[in-house]
Amino acid sequence: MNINYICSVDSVIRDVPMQLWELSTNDGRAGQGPEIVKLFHNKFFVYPSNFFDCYLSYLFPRYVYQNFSIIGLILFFLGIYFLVINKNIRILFLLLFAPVIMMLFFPSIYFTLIYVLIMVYGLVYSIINLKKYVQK
Amino acid sequence: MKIKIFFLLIIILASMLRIYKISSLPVSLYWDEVSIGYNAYSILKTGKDEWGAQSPLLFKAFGEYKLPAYIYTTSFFENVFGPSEIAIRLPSALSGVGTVILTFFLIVYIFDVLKNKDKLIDTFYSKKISFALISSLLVATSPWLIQFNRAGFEASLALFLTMLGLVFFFKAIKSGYIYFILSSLFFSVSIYTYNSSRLFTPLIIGALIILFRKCIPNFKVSLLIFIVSFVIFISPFLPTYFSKEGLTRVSGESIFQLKGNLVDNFIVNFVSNLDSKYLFFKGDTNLRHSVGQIGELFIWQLPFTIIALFLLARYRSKFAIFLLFWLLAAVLPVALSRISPHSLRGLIMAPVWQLICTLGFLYIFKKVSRLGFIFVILPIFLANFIVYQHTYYLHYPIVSAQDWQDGQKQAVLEIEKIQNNYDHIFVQRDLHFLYILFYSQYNPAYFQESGHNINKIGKYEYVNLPVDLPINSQRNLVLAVPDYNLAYRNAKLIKKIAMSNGDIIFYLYEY
Repeated sequence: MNINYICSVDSVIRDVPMQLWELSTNDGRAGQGPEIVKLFHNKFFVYPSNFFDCYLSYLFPRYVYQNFSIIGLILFFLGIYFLVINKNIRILFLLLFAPVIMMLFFPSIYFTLIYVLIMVYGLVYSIINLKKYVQK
Repeated sequence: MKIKIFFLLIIILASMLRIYKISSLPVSLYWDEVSIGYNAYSILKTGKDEWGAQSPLLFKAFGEYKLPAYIYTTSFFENVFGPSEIAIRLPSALSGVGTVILTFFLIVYIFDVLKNKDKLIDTFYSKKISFALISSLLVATSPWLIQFNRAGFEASLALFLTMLGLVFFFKAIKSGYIYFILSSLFFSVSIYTYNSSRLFTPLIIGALIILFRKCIPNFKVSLLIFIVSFVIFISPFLPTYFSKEGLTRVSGESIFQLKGNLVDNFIVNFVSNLDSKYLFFKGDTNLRHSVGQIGELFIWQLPFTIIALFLLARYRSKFAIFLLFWLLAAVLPVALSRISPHSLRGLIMAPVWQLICTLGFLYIFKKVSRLGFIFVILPIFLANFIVYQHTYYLHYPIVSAQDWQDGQKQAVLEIEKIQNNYDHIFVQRDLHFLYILFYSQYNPAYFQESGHNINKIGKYEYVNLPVDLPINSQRNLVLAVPDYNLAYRNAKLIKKIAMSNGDIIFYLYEY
């Protein structure tokens, strides 16, 4: 398995000052005063936005596909679907927590187990539902 | 009465967001827009395109072929406004306003058609008008749609026509099959408008027929009317549809041009369109297609969208399947092309994201108090919207000037002002010939007679600098990019031509 490393807490912290500088410069070129610049481009908005962006990049299809192939992607979404239908909050909570671990530490095979767990869940419940459907 | 006033306010807001400063923002006409503008002008004046072809169904441009609907529409607007930015961009902007209006009617008709036949619709039926109004409002304020509605993009018109096709399809189910003829007319014209529709429209028509067959009265007669009229409307275009010229753009931009495994490329392209960074944070990386710092959808829409996707999965109703099919069918043309994600080629999916978000919004709205809405959701929506407007009106003109080929217009207009003082005007290829044709309003008949000679247009002559400047005793004007030193011709710098962000793009010399 080839684990793609997308972003981390460090990379977000590194990027934000440069991003703020770029945004403020453009505001300056557009003739805006420092108050407007601070109002629209401050770290209280940019940091959370970038962290959230980074966090979600571990949950959306592209990341899952690139690391677990198309079968993994399908099973992953089936897993989430059945987790929601069955209201299995604990595993869903684990999934929501997984990107935090990925962002804090260099991803290792252990952390990807959460994704695998969801895929297995998706596979098992797909088979169970398929059996029920056939029996009907 | 309240509903009418609210709907009117949404239409006014949509119009303001699309038409205010439309000539100057985006900062310049891109060359595709100029090509549309000059061909429309040529059609208006001579009935022929820039190559001299009489009323063509495909317009040759830049080694590809443009579809005809937007160009003919623009020629009508140029008849009113003359060859100008507003004439090129207004059809797109009005299509955008039309899309907002049609979103309202689409929801109303779908709800009426599926009442008592669809669990999801029945759950939200009491909120039908709220659903329609909120969807329209979200379409009106969508950065994705505003971006393309404010420039001369054929995709805006294609989306409007597709929406018309959909609205009349549901109207026909409700009010009689005569409307199927109108539906098929608009669906077929959308195919004449934009390349993505050539794949999307047949798919969505197939889905409509299969999904709603039980809702259609006199199904066989209605289907016959719909299919026959569609074939009649599309038949003039069919030979060009499958011709080598008609497929040039499709094959040139197809996924087959990419290296690597085809299946892998397709899946990566497909899922890229559903990526969080693209949809909610950064948008399309091409600065003509997005403002660059804001997603195609607002960040606040993310939780509602996710909730709605779960709702769609849970209900698995006709309406849910229709929305999901619309979404996936709209991704397909993008996934099959070379560049993905691509917000322009995927524009047809923009309204469906707003419908999905509205579903999630109304579901949550049932569970939160009115105060929760006023103090939490509304301020977040307004904050997002104001930041977007700030970015669009202040940052975007600065960062995107080069992407919109700003400076070309200024160069031609500057030369036009002083051209009578000179015998020759020498220009570099960096000034594209279409800008000369369009902004000097060069007579299309002369250009056609010249055999599409792009080396000499009136007084303008293209030269390779610095070697090709002739030595003569006449008065010469030279337009060059800033890298060249023309001191050896004793040329005198008379003007620096800047883009609207202040960056210098050309020097004007005389010798």
